[in-house]
Amino acid sequence: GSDGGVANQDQITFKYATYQPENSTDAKVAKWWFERVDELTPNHELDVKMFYSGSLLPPDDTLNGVASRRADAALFATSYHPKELPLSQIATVPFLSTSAEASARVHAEMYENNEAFREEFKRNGLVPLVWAVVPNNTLGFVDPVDSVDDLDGKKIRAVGISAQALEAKGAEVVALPATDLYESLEQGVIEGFSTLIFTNAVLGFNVAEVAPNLVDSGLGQYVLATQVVMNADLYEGLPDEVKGAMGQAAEEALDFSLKETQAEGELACDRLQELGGSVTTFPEDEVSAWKDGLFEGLLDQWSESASESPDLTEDAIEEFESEYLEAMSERSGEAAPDILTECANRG
Amino acid sequence: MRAIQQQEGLGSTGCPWGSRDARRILKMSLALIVVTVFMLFFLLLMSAVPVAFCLGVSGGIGIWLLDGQEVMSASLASIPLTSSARYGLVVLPMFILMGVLLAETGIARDLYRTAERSVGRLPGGLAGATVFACTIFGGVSGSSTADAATIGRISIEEMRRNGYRPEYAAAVVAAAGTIAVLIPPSIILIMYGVITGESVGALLLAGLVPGCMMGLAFFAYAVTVGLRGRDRALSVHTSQLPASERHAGNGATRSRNRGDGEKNSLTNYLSLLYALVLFGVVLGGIYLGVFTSTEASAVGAATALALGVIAIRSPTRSLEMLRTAVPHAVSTVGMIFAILLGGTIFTYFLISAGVPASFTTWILEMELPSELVVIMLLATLIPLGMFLDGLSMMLVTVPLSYPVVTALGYDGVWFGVLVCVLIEVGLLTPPVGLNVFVISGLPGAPRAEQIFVQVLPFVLIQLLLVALFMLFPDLVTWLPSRAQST
Amino acid sequence: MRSAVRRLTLALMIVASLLTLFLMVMIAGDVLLRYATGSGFRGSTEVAEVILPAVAYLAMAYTQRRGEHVASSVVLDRLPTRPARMLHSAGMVVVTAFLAVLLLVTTESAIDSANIRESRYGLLGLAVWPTRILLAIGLLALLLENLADTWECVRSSNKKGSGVQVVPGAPETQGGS
Ligand code: NA
Ligand code: NA
Repeated sequence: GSDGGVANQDQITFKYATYQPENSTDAKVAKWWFERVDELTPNHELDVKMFYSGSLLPPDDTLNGVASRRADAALFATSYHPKELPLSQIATVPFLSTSAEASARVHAEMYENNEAFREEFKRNGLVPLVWAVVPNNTLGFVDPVDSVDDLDGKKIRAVGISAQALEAKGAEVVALPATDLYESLEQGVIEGFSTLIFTNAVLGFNVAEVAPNLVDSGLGQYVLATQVVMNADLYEGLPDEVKGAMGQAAEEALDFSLKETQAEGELACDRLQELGGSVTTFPEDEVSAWKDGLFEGLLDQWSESASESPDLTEDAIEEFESEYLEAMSERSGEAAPDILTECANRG
Repeated sequence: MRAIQQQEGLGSTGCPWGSRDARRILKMSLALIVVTVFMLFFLLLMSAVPVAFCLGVSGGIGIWLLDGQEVMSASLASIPLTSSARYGLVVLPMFILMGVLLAETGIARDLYRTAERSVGRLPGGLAGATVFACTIFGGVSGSSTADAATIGRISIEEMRRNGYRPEYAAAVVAAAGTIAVLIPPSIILIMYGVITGESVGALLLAGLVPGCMMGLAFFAYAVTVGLRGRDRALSVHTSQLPASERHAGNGATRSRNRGDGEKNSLTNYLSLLYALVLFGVVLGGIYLGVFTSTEASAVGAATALALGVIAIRSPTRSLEMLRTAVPHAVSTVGMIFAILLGGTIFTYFLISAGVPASFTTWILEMELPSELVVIMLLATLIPLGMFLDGLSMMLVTVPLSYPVVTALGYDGVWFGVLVCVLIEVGLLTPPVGLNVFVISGLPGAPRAEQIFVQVLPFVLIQLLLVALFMLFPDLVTWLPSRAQST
Repeated sequence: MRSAVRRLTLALMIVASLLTLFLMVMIAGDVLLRYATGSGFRGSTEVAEVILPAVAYLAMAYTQRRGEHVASSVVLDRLPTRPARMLHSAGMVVVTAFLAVLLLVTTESAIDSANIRESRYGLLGLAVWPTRILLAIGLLALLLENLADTWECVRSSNKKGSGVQVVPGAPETQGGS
């Protein structure tokens, strides 16, 4: 039933599921957002049960889990559901954006302005409320890697479309779950990793301990994620006061999230230095040569697979694509630098 | 805003998040639902239907009571795939296949003979040989209960034939089967890694030293018994009987592939070599970092297959062996994944109801000495052994105990090994340890009550070892920590 | 009826066996290849994640037939024959109902998954829906085996005779092939 989770007149309960641990930035932001919504709603009391570390829903089961209300809301990475959320996969195309802030703001705007993008969530019974700040794809290696050509012959963990960018430079790509990274790096099964964010690489999964040579590769963001995605029926049934507060809190949460990410990034940078590691930035000309040969093709690949969806017309895809690219280039200039880049600049 | 953690849970009767249909209609409090689900589980268990489905049914009904029919359906629709589609779980079918291949090629049997030849002259030597053989070959089926039955079939008869009192022989088998759960590969330890997220490679290495210590302790006990008196143990040395009489007619499928008469000590020592090769490949590979523990399982199975083909020396017989071994392995895989399915449904209910979080808070708030908490959590496993096999015991208890123990600052790998030992203690202790009952059900085996008396000293040894591992945690954690720093 | 169920169970067991051997060859081969040439199979972990559930669920009916699903008859053994049989029959009926529900919901999700050609995140973007369908087929066979067992159990609980036939976790008791 869509009784909106309202048990008493003024008490609203939520089960929030995240696959990140309790001390992660992601979990902190979600907690902060719920608390803020509660503050903003004097007539309602929010009662939130947080389930951490995938204990309620594994990451690849989040879509079904929230749609069926096994959880009311969750942290949600769209890349686990390429067929259900074809437009969202654009964020997996490498070289598209290298600013976490720009991406998060663009996603929020696109959700307001682009109907096909909005429909994509609605069709699956979801409402995205808080857009996640996803820092750059962090590469890390056991041995130092200084240029794009050093990727040749390296065995690297990667998933998603960005894997193709690595393969284009002669890397041997292995799809491993993030939980297997430490052991695999240590035992030489792989020589490097990708598709992790800086803080997770250094603090969460601790893999910088065995692969301390990190690289700011220029591949940029690799996933479109929402900090809080909510069951659509539940959301629709909420009182207007609460829905309004959720919108306002979401805007504030983005700033909180950016600040938290920066702070975590600094901690991670300290830790990396303790480990004797460092962040290398690939030379700009190398990156743009790398991008030039690949970017258009990968973007075409994305739009082709999106066009396989029965719910999307060619026009809708094209419109989404051009709006997305335009918004991204507009937003990128003014955005804060990525935490990985910051750490590289630190010395 | 009220407690943002999932902390109140059990005590609250106001159903703060029970907005869903079933709960509202039935007006059940959270505590009542949890109690109902556990009662249902034990009731079904008493009806002797598979534990896997007892867990699934009661967990499923729990989800329905908690969140309504839609959430239950959605959970049951997704859990079968999400609980099984994980790369790390590949170790289960691969290590099972490895174990079954070893058993079916007769290497296990030959090794038992070798052990018997080597130590059989000692007083109590045959019991010692049983301990040795069990140590190496058990523990790959995931159910030490099933292992006890398999190994029991071979060795009880063997010991009886050689003048052991049947209840003592049965006790030796029941106890020795438990060592196998520590010596890698151990499905129960692997499952602990799956549930908690601890490294499977570290767990497998962690079990090695404690397993060997237990093996040595049991062996020493067997020899002591042999020395002390012939009333309890050996009255005739194995070497005094003709080989045909010693090994004939024990009806196990293992004997099918190879003629019994043609054995000589050379092939027996060869089988020891095979076993060492296999052991070396798997554990050495993990320890030295040649491949991951997941890959080690497949390499182990492939090596076992290759060794089997070499040992059998006949293509048609090898094929015949495969046709027996693989379905046997597949059947065990079905058993384990059914338990995993049921366990995941049950655990999902518990987590959804906030039980582990409430339990952790409740325990920590008592502010007991942390050693006492660990001892209490471990002690609860002993009575559970009356009803549940090892794997199910783990699936029911570890989601509750692991968060507490790690919150107290203990090492998760260390706790895993202790849990394994205590699970096995639970399967041996009177009044109704499951392993003992299964063995008493084998043809020609004595009554359970008689076995229990003989098994008690083994239980005492296990408990002493647990105390030792608690006092000196390095005994458990040293090997895995060494492997990580290389 | 019973023989048709047996044939289905055996056929699924054979598929599961072949898939198990395939897993072994693929992963061990991956390690070897990586050792020899420095590079392994592309996406073998994903392939394993798609095959493993199929192995597990195609095997379950066969496990049931061999009587290898672990059960505990400790309590039942201590009850008089007639109540024991009734209790066991009741348990079997509940389990059968559970499996029917499980089959229903997994079949629904298999159909949904096939309709959208559900694929998984990774390197190869492998299709998930064939696995979901195999999983449902495995559960169907398990349900049928269980139905047959339940029927026999209920029938025998109305008759007089010897004790309940329950084998807890003892392998090789009901024969393999
Ligand atoms: Na409020
Ligand atoms: Na073992």
